[in-house]
Amino acid sequence: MLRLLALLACASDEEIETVDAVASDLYMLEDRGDQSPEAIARSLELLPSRDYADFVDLGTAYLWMGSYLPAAEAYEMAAREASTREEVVGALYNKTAALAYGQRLDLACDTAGSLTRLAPDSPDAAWLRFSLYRYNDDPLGALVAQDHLIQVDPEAAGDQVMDPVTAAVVLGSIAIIAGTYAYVRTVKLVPPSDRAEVVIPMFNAYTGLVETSVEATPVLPDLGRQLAVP
Amino acid sequence: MIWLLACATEEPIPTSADEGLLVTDLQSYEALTEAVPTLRDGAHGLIKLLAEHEVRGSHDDEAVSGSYVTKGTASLVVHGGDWYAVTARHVVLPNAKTEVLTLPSEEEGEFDEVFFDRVDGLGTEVAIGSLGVHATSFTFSQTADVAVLAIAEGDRNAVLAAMEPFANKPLRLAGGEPTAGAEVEAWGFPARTHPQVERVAISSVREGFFIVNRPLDPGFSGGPVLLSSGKAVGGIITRSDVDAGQSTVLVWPSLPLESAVHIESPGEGEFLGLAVTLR
Repeated sequence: MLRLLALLACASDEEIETVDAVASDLYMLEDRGDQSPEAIARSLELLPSRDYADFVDLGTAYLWMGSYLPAAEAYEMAAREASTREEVVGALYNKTAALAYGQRLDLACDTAGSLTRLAPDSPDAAWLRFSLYRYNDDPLGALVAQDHLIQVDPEAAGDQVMDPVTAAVVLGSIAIIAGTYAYVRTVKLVPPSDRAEVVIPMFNAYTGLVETSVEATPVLPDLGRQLAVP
Repeated sequence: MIWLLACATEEPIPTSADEGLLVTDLQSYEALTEAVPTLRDGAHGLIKLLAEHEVRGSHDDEAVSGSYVTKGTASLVVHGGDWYAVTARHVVLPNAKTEVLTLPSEEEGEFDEVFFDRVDGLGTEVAIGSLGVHATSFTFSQTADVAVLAIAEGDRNAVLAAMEPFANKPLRLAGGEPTAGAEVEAWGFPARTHPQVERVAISSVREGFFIVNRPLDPGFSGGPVLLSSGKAVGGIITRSDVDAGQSTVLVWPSLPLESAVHIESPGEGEFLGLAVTLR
């Protein structure tokens, strides 16, 4: 539950005051104190034993640092330490996106395939898989992923999926762009310089995937909010 | 994992990772304890197939190749506890007699033609259902338009998630002689995702196949025809003739698999003297 509070800390100003501001701004699952991502990463690297939250936070610290493949590795370790199916799903979602940022699209597509098998009803997972196959120039994979996407998100049917430009999904020079609901939806090859654009949409989806059993009104963070870039 | 040992505050930012940990294998996660689903013998539902076909050959003594994606339909059939996707052969295997392929050009709205004087080899990647399951093996008839794709135990949940069930209980495979005039149901995936059901009538019955009185749209290929009782699968849709206004259905129990080709997937084999690669 502590993790949920931390993740939902952005829901309102009142809640933000109840948890550590730095930890919530960095989207850590646990309170890591008033530290930079580099310091958090180093402290987690030195821990004699680490649990699921430690590995997720290590991966997230690496995301803030722009170290995408080490982030993917940390998320893989998180998945191995996970105690529930939902935790595995959340870790693999982040691993998929980290691999995409790290230019490993084949591995990202494979991981997205595993992710959708574990969470076949998740629109977030379906969108991510479709976007990856589309940009990996894999026509068969993109068509298969498109079928799945339309099954879980019928509003994606039609030209909106066939042509992402018309789906209000911006194709820019950044790697992951928040769509209408600030979820990770589109992947391109060059990561953004503002790490907030990496972490925030990723963790919006992560929260939804991991905490599906929690009844809470999802409040999405304001994308216009300026976070300090480490 | 070397970067995990870094401890100095001025250590460089890690950029590399253990390649083995970048690969995702669902067997690695202890939190996942899924039972292998089982079903009774019979036909259970409809599955969409997408296949990327490659044709390799020559034209004017130069090597040429082309690839394209097709869609079709399969029935999930359980036999002896094992799971199979049964479909038309042409859905999972490109035409070995190809003379020309018309493919989308890099220029939007334009098309290129690839000519073949001779076809030397065929390649196909088949995705079973929208979660992209790959078959563990392909078995297809040399003479009839039918193919059987084996499904691994570990892929059963992914197939079930993408399947459109026929009924609450498995259907029998055949179970009555098709007769001219009888109404039957053709099931298939002509649309992008959700299946369609066309009510058609049998207009003619021949040895091993029968004709229904309507041309079925592309995507019905490989789909089943259910006898009007809704309790049995009568055959597999193989051909549609728009000009003639009719379609051809292979009668299920007469599928001549005795001379079948069996290829482990991913693997290579031979079909009509051609090299075939399947995955």
